Amino acid sequence: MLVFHLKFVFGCWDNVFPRFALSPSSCLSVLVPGGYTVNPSVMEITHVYAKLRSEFGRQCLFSDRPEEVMVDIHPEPSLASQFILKTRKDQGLQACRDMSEHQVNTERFESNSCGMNHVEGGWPKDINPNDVEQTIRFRKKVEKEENYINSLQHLGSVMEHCIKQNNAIDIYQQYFEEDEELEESSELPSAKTINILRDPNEVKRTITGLSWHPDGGRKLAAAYCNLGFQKNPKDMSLDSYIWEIENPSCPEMTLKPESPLVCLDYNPKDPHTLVGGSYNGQIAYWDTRRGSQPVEYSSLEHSHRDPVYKIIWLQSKTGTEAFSASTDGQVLWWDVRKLSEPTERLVLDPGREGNLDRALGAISLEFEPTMPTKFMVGTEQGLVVSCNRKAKTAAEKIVCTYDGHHGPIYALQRNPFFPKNFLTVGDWTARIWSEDIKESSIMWTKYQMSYLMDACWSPVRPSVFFTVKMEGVLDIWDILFKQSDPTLSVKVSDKALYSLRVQDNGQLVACGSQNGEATLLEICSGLSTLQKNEKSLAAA
Amino acid sequence: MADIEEILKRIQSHSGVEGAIIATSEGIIMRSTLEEQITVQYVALIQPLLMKTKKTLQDMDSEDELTHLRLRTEKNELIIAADKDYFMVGIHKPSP
Repeated sequence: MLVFHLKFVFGCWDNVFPRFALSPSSCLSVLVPGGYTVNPSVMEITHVYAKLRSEFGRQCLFSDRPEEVMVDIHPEPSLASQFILKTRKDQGLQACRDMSEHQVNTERFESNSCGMNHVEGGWPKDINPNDVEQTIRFRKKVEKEENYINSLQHLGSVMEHCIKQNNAIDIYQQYFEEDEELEESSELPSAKTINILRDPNEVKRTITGLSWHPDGGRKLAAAYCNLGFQKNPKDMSLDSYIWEIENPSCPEMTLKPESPLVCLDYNPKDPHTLVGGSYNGQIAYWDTRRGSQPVEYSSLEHSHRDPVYKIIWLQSKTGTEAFSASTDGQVLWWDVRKLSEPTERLVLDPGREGNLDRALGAISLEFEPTMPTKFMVGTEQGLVVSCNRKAKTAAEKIVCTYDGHHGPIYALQRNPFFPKNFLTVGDWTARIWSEDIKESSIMWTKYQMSYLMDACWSPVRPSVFFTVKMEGVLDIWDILFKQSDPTLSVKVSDKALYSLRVQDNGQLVACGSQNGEATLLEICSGLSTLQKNEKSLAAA
Repeated sequence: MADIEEILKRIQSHSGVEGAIIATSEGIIMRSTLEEQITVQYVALIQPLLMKTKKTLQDMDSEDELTHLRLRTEKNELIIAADKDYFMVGIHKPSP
């Protein structure tokens, strides 16, 4: 009698005998005493299976029998203490490759435009196109070919067909007038950098003043100057440039003053003339038709004694008047035809005495063409002084002052739609004032993280203004939409942004930074086109 | 010879036709009703355009062929009829 052992070691079959599937639920019919034993120490199940020798070779007869629990192993809670329950985590699975998004900017390329001279060509090598006889001969030869005549006839008929068609009906006629687009832009506000105009010199200077060309705004004039006290390196160039926006690789024109320009302004009446205020206090007048040298310079004795921080053209019948402000406390009026002496002088003295020693330094100026007799000056001390030009005595010139900022007022501008409200920017806030309310501003932003350097109203939308900060960020504020935070913040550059100007159509914004880069940004249409009830809402 | 004259005359007889130019596909001017400078400029600019168009169409569908090319501009319309060896340009100013 042979005894066969069939061992199960936990689900692992160890067949010794010919293969037949053996599951715990079916068993051999022949079960000779042997039974099975469980050896718990090794976790083995031994099943003894014995068969008579004489019965070998007989086919196996299977029969089912109900299940029998062979082994029942209960969970042991003590083992569970060796495991930590992990927090449930939701993880999405997707059967695709990991991808990441990158943005790449191409290298700046320099493009040149040149013209092409068309000369007749296509002649075979042996024929000289200038020799009339040869060409005539060639032409005659071609014309004799049969192919020529046939193909020409065919071409002629095609041509005639088209011409007749054109004469019969204008096939390009617009049949339905396009519906007016009435969409309310619900897109997210965005601004996109279009171009960066870099200072071509090695030594980089800050862009302290910007002015758009009044006629359409295709050109931008930028004043470059190093504003740090006595920080001018020896080989720093003094030039300022006029750029054409389409051509960022080289400036269209250079302006060569004797001392670097701190601010400049295009004459709104005559797009060829510019006036600029320089670091040494002089005013210079350029005509772009006449070249890079200034046409005229103000004399040193009568100019400002400190850098001229702001200069603006005035509305006048002759179109030649401008006024300038400087930190020496004076506001001077000039007639550009005669720059040897200012036509008028105003000393910013809060005591109204005309005392130069006590004068406040002026940093920004504001002039609104619709209110030609009034103007405003922003001072280093944080005061906005509103003045009347027509006043007879110096005392009456200064009408009132508005005190609001802790530091110099770097920008001052009236709202082009609501001239009674003006925007000032200084220290870490931007404030909106109403002319009639003298105690404090009617609206102000919360204290920002860095210094605000310049601000501008949007010429198109009455409730939108732009500010630039020391940390290189351009903020766009929409007072109708959100008053506590800028509607859009764009990080324009790593360096501080010093100046900002919006183009007249409201879509392009130029910001000038500390390393001489002027970045042109295009604002999305939601922020640059007038919304329907904006004017009335802003007036409220 | 006479046929060609006739073809050109017929084209010119339609109202609004400003001029017609016949040239080979390489750019040699055969006949033209406009003055030489302008003709040279037209042919020099249209010939590469035509080559490019033909090549484009051939790339798209090798069995297709260009019959004619109409260039409508604000002021007038250029009709360019093209063949394997020659092409004809007609400048037409359709009345509105």
